[in-house]
This record gives sequence, structure tokens and C-alpha cells, in this order.
Amino acid sequence: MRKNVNAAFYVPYVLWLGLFVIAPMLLIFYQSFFDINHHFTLANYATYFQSGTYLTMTFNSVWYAFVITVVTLLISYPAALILHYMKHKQLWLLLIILPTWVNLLLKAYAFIGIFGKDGGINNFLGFFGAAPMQLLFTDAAFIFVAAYIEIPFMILPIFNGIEELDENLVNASQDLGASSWQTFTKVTLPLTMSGVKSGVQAVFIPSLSLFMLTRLIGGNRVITLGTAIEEHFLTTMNWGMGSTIGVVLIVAMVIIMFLTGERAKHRVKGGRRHV
Amino acid sequence: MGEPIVELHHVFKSYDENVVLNDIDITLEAGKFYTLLGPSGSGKTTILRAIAGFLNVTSGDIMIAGKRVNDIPANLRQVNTVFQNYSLFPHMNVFENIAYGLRIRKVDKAAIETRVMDALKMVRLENLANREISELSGGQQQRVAIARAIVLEPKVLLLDEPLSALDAKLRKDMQYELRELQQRLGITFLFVTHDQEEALALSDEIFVMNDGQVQQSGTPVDIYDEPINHFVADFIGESNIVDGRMVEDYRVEFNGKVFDCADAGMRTNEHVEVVLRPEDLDVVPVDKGRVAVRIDTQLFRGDFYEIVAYDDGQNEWLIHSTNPAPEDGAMMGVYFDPEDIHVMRFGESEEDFDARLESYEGE
Amino acid sequence: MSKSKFKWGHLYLILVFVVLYLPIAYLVGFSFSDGERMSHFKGFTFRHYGELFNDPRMIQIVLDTLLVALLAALFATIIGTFGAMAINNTRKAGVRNSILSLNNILMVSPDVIIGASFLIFFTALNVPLGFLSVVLSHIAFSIPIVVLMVLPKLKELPGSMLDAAQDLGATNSQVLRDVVLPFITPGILSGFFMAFTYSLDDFAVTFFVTGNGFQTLSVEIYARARQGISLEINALSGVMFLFALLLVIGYYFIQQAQTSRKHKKGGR
Repeated sequence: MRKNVNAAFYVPYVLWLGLFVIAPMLLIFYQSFFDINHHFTLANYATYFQSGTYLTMTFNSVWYAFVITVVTLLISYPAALILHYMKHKQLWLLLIILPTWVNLLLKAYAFIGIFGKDGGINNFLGFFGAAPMQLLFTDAAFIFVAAYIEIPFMILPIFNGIEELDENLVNASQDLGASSWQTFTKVTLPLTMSGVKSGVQAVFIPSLSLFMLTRLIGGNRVITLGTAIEEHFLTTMNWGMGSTIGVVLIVAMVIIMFLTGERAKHRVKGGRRHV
Repeated sequence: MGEPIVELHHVFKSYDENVVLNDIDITLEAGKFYTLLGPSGSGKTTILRAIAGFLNVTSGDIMIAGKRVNDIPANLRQVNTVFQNYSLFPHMNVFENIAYGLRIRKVDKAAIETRVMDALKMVRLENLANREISELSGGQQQRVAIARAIVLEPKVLLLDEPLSALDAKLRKDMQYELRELQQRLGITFLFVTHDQEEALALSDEIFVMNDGQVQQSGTPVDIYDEPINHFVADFIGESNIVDGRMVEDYRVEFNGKVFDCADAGMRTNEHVEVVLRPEDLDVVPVDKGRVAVRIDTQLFRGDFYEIVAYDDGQNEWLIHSTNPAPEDGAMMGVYFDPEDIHVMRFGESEEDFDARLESYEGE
Repeated sequence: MSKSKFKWGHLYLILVFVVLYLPIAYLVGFSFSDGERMSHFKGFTFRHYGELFNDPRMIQIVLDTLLVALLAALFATIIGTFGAMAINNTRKAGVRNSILSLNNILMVSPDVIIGASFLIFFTALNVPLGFLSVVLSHIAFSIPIVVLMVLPKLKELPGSMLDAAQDLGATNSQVLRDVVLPFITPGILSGFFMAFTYSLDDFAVTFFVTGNGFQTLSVEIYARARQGISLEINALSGVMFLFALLLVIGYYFIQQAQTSRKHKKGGR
């Protein structure tokens, strides 16, 4: 409101904006124009758009992210709606959030055990005489685990959206003769769309760039944009190509943000970010 | 004249093109209860904030106790404010809120204790010293806000619509208390409100504001009985305002008839406005009335009947009568005495208005 | 909603909770198994916890991780709080929104992008990869959440409250100390807390910017998980779950304290 904070206090924040927000973004863009020998080149982009491998990978990555988002949404919306009508809903909500506070790596590690050859599921199926199956390192396992990790991040914004919905609108709709289903499709769903959009944004973007899960659960069968970036930066040391894919990922992110409304109002509060 | 404590000399304030204070020139004397009355956006709160030091005026001088304070920051001015929403510090209890200003001034502990308790006694909250702010009712918060300001013994207490958040009953009670408190403390109060009843009930003197200008200043009775222009007549109380013509001194024509009146000093045949207060009008049989009207509607308001009627020229007449009119649609007469008529000139300045009144009332 | 539908709803919700907690229960359960693998529970033992507490490398990593988280949270909270004030004090809506958009970039960016771009940044500036680069990165990605936690509290602070303090004689720094900071303290605490947990939980960014010499817990678990299953990790999960539980309860109480205060105010 007023000048009660000395300008010197702002300096660290402004430095942070410059050094850790703007500069790295510019640097990744800059780096994308250099080849492995630090020569200026457009070859990275040429390679990206000409080689079938990268385009297929991008398509796959988007496709997986899409499937993960849809699965997560289908599971989460009903859960959020039911949660809204629960007694002690704040407590239940806390229980939804709690798993997000357990280190992601540990959850992934748990699934290695559960899906393993002699892990929980195969043991369970064994009771019914089924032969052990290969579960780990399959697409299904990857999608399941990814969805598992994202569910709380989808439920929370949708739940917040439903909470903001004026209950009287639902009553009014029923009063005007709409059935429960009509009320849901014509009133509840349209008015909670902003929550859904926030949820989609919170799930789709990280799903594009998952790399840890592709390695531990997907067994390198699934290559996402994230995996490719990690590989170029940390294994093949081709930072230029990695940065090019990074730029593609940033563009994809901007498109998603644009499509889902630029500001995620219902962002997860108390939930954790993801890898 | 008492000793002037706050003076505003030719004060202007504008934001870009927008003039919010237009040549404000007012003087407050020590120990009186003043009110700035006006609709929202009339500039009354701006004046208060200028005196408190929360905003800088574009030009003009603000004087407190004879010293120009334009360049003195709010925290060093000897005035204190009671805010509209109280603005009590939620993280301090009642005692700490009131003690805050004293602590800033490094008053010693024992003195703080006594002064805070005295202030609490003043507002009759001595039992609530250790309450949290969130545990108080609206009326109690209001009193704490007052105690927090008066504990510093300011020369002037500024009150920014302090009663607007209270319900009607509590509001009335607080009006009495404020008036009493002001008389007991003997300090100057400058009270901002848009509620004309509140202003009339509380003030020694009222400044009626509109469009960044003081329209009229004076005692409540003066302003009510002799409004200077259409705005003041309309804003304060309810009125019937009709166009008229001053035939000669003490004779005014409106509704096609000439009436005796108590006003003088205008040009002959000057175009004027005539104000008739609804409570000065009586409903009588047609032959005994001065104007014939047809009763349109009437509402029972408890202590009077509010009657709306129309004359031949389709002018609306608002009448507050202790007795009901016979029935809707009836033809009745409206009766008033010559002294019930108040004549207003167009565009007359307050100075000229006062001078004109002086000239013939002295006779 | 009809009664019967409600029951189905409960069943559905229970199912969701089972799925959410099963892996965690599985993990913690096997930490007490007297075997070497996450299959066929072999009888109860604390053996793996013993191993964990006698693993100096693991203990060092846990301490390092906590140190990074504390430092990151502390600096991010200080910088973020003043940043929030700067944003709040910015009068021009356009400038304010631009700063906010910049602020949120790191909130929505995928971690790989943050990690990769920071790696380029540190390399360009010749910052050695290790403890320093990790702490700097953690401070950097925790600042926006602090800003987002503090800003709403600053917005809630009515301007007239500042006027009131000034009216009572407070100077600018006294207004800051006596009114602004106490008022936004819940936001600052939430911010610190979130920053702390962001740091603890981070894997991808650390994975990019840490060199060979320095490990945090997440990176270490990743490395060990790729080598194969060891029930020592399960024991670690047990400890960390307990820790997470305490953190969540702590966070819950901060939130409750804030909302109950709001409710009281709203009741007027």
C-alpha cells in the first residue's frame, strides 16, 4: 500500500526473477541453437522435425499424457463430488492429500514391489491358480502408477470448484424440474469446469515430462519428452538437442495453459508438486 | 468565536482531471461537534483524510492549532481517527489495541495502565480489557476504536462514518453516547456521515458537501429551515420543491397563485424555487386549503401518514399528516402558513445568502 | 441425492482410498518382514530399521537433505515475503500481473525444464555442482510458493489498518513490525512449511543440478531402486511416512488456526 518497505528489501526478489526465472528460460532457448561441439546451428530443430523418432516420441508423450489425464479425471471427478457431500469433508480431504506428502520415489518403489514377478499382485492371483504375469515394465503399469500419483492433484482443484458452487443453484435446477442427471450435466458440471481445467493443467503438464517413472515402472519402453531431455542432458551430454526438446515442451506447456485458462485458480494448496 | 483548532484554506485536491475537493475553506473551533454531511463521492472523507494526513492535497493550507501541517506525516499530527470499519488490530487484544499509541510514544508502564483503563471507562468497556477483538460485538468494537483514539488526547477526533456498520437500534444508542462523550471530553469532533438524521441529531454545526464543495454550513436548525439551494433542501429531510416567481418582498407566486411568505431581498419577478416541508402541510377540505389536490396513495408510517397527492398541474405533493386522508382518489385541500414557505434563489452563494437573511430579519 | 446412491458413493470413495493407501501400507508393512524381498511376508522384525540406523551414508544423506530443506525454506521465505510485499505495493495493475506471471513460471514448469535450465545456468556461471547448486535451486523453486502463500494475507490486510497504526503515531518501520508482519505471519508460516516440503520432496531438479559428490534422499532412493529391492528402503519409508504424517498434522493445524480466525471474523 505504501512505502513502508524499503526498496532494498525488494532487491533479492527482483534478482531472483532475473537470475532464476528469466535467465534460465532464455538460456535453454539459446542453448537449443548449439550442437554438441558448441557451434551455432539450426540442426537440432531440423533433426527434431525431420527425424521420425522425435516426432513419434512427441506424439507418444502427448498421447500418454492424454490417457493419464483422462483416467485421472474419470476417477477424480466422482470422488471429488462424493467428497463434497461427506461429513467431516476437510478431514477426508486431508487424507486425500496425505499420500502426496510421501516421497514420490518411495511410492514408485512400492509399485516395483507390488507389480514384481513375485510381488503382491502376482501372489494374490497365484491363489486362484494364475501363472505369474509380467506386470512391471508395461504400458498399463506406467499409466496406472502415473494416474495413481496424479489423482490427488486432480481431486483437489475439482473439489474446490465444487465447494465454490452455490448449493442454491443446484436446488434451483431441481426446483425447476431437472432430474439429478440433468442438474449435473446442465448446472454442476459447467459451473465446476474451471476446477476441472485447473486439474487438467496440473496433471497434463507434469505427465508430459515424467522421466523417473518411465525408467522405474515403464522400464524404458515408454519414452516421454522428459525422458529424452534427461537422457540428452545427463547421458549423451547433447545439451543442444535436450534444450530443443525442452523448448518444444515449453511450447506445449504454453498451449495447455492457454487452452485451460492461463491462471489456475484452484491450484493445489497443501498438495505437493510432482516429477 | 472560540479558538480555531483546524483550518482549511482554499484546499483543492484532484486526481488527474478529476477534482474531488474544490476550494474548501472551513474553520473548526475547539470543543465543538462538527459534521461533514454529503452523499458518497462528495469529498467528505477526502477532507477527513487530508486533515489526518493520509493524503496530500493539491493546493491550499491545512492548519492544526495554528500551524501549517501539510508536510507533517500522519503519525506526527495531533489528530486521531475512528475508522469506518474500526480497523482494530486483530492480533492484539482490547487493552493492547488501546495501549498501542501510548507504547509508540514510550509512555511508562504504570501510566499506560491507568490511561487505558480510564479510556475504557470512558466508553464503558472496563470489563473487557482482556478480550480478543474477534470476541467483541460490532458496538463493542466501535467503542474500542473510540477509546484507542481518545486515549492519546488528540486536539481533534476525526470520525469516518463510524456508525454505518451498526444496526438501526444500536446506532441510535451510539449517537447519544457520542454526543455525551464529546461534551465530557470537550475536544473537537469532526464526524463524517451520509445520514442526514444522524447529522442533525449530533452536530453543533454541519457542513453540507456536494461535488467537492461545501454547499452550506450552519446549525442543524438553520440548515433544515433555510436550505440555501435545491441540493441541500432535497438532501436534508424531505421536501416539496416547486418553481415560482418572486412578485415582491414577502409575496411569491407558484402553482398559478400568489402567496404571502416570510422571504425578501430578491429582485422583483425573480425566478425562484419554493420549498415546502411535508410535515408543515395539512390535509383539509378543499375549500379551506390553499392548493387543491387529488389523493393518490397513503402509507402508515407509525408516527404519521405519508400521503402522496397531485394538483391540477400534475405536480406531486408529499404530505406528512397525523390524520389519514379520507380515501384514495378524494379531492382535498393542502393548507400551509406563510412562514412554512421557504424561497431559494438560483446560484446564490452562502455569503450572499447569509447577508440577505441578515438584511431583512434584522428589521 | 437419493439414499442408495449415497451408499454406492461411499463404496467408491473407500475404493479410492484403498488404492491411494495400499502402496504405502505395502511399503511400510514389508519394512517389518524378516526377509530380503518385497514378497511373501516372513515374520516380524525390526532388523531393517537397525540396518538403516547403522548406515552412516544414509544418515549423512538424511541430514544433508534436512539441511538443504531448512536453508532453502529459510531463504525462500525471506525473499518471497519481501517479494510478495513488492508485488502488493506495485500500483500499476499491468506491472503487477506481469510480475505475478513471471513468479508463477516456476510453479507450472515441468521439473525437467527447471532442472535442465538451471544446469545450463550454473554451468554458464561456473557454479560448482553440488551442495551450493542444489541449495540455490531449491531456494529458487520455493520462492514462488512463498509468494503465493503470503500475497493473499497481504491483500486481506485492510489499508485502513495501516492508516490506523500511522494515525496512532507509528512510523513506517513500526507499522511493518507491529501490524504488517504479525498480520501476515500465518501466510509466512505456510510459505515456510510448503517450501520445506517442496525441497524435501524434490527429485528431478536435484537430479539435474547435483554433481557426483552430493546426494539428497530422493536421488539416493532412485539410485538404490534401480539397483534392486532392499528392505532398508522400506524401513526408511516407515520413518518418512511417520515424518510426513507429522508434517501434515502440523500443516493442518496452521490451516485450522487460519480458518477459525476467519470464521470468527466472518461471524460479525
